[in-house]
Amino acid sequence: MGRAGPTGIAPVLQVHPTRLCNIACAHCYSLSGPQAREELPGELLSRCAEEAFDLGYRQLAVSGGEPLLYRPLAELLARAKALGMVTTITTNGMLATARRWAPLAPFLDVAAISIDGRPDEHDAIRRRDGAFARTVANLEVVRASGVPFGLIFTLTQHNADSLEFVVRLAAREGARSVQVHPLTLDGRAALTLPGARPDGIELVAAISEASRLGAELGVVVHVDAITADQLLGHRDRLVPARPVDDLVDVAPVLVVDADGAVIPMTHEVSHDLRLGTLADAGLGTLAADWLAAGRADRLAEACQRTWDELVDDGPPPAVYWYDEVAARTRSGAPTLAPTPL
Amino acid sequence: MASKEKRGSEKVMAAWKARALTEESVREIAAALEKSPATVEGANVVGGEHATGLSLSLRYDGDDGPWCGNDILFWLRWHLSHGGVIRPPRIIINGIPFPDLVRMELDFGHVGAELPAVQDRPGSLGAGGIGG
Repeated sequence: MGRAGPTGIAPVLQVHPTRLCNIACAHCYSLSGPQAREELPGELLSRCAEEAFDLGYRQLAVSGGEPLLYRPLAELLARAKALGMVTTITTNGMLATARRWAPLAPFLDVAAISIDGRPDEHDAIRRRDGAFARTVANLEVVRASGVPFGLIFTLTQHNADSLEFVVRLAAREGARSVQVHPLTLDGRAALTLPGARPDGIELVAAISEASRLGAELGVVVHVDAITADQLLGHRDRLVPARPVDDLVDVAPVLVVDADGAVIPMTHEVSHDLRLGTLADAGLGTLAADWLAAGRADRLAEACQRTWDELVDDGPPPAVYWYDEVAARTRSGAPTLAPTPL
Repeated sequence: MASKEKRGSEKVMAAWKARALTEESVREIAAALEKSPATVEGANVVGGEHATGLSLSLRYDGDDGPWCGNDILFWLRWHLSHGGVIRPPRIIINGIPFPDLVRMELDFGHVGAELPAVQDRPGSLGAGGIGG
């Protein structure tokens, strides 16, 4: 697997610095909300970004909670930018007032703003009346700052048809792109939206709509899923070679949670494959210990098992690859049994 | 979110079917072309078996040039009846001030809706893109 990772983009350090959020969305995978207080110190995350850069990560993606409620956000983005990393944030946009946005804009390469369908659908999933109107009103602030922005849409089993509205909104509002991210049944989403995780048919419907709408409206529409053809044709990019020598080869996305947990690939990966917590050691040390303990190889093994099982069973029309791998790391297969560090 | 019980893909499919050209709508185009002095130089049907759009290249020679306005009027009325994405006609006029040739391309329905091959569609592994 190349240094660009299987997504074809630079390896990403995905940071959730706080679980504090102004709203408590139904589809939140991290149980964030107005009452959540978990937060990481800015200095700790700046050091983490430096060590991540040394390990080969080239993009800092800050999410949450609501990142605009994280006080040291501008400093963190500035540090990452100074290192040469691409900086992005994912925000619900409701708090993107000129006062909050101005200090961030110089250090921000791209903003992703969550829109989950038509106004009524968006407000329902956000569990806040008027959320859509407030977010859309604030797009003017983002536009005026000159920071390129895109919309991010959570795909469920029931809303592929809403993608058209979101892409048209993106075209009208000057967004460069729309990212379609399949719902993950973790955190609050597991409680409030059981059965709403999109299956292969919904993923392929979203991919088809993305293609049609992108061509018609001139907006880049990107779906976080791969088709059966892509699965079959790109085994070498999906399954890392073993032994794994570098963290980025098996974890092109590295997640840092608001409790300091460092998780390879995606939140849902089995707890015993986590690197550890930043409260115990710096990222460089965690990564070295993790590789030495053979856990990277076990994650690569899970990738291989995922690929083999999907192909042997007759591949579904489309899959969210990381979700599939994560599910297999939790399935209790012998190769994934806990190993003490 | 009670109204969201149906699969999204079923609603997408229903919308696709609603965009498909009906036999009646195609007959109307054929009848209008019968009346028009335009020569059909090319026709492209988009969507294959379930066609959603038709793109026509028309040519008007000499004194027939002004007729293209009648065909544009028909094209607008057709969209009012049958829907679709209205793309302005592309018109080339040869000869000033008296045109001796007018070429016009008209799109009916959803001409931009053709899908590329599945391997070219915008899927990827995820957790990349703008959201990280």
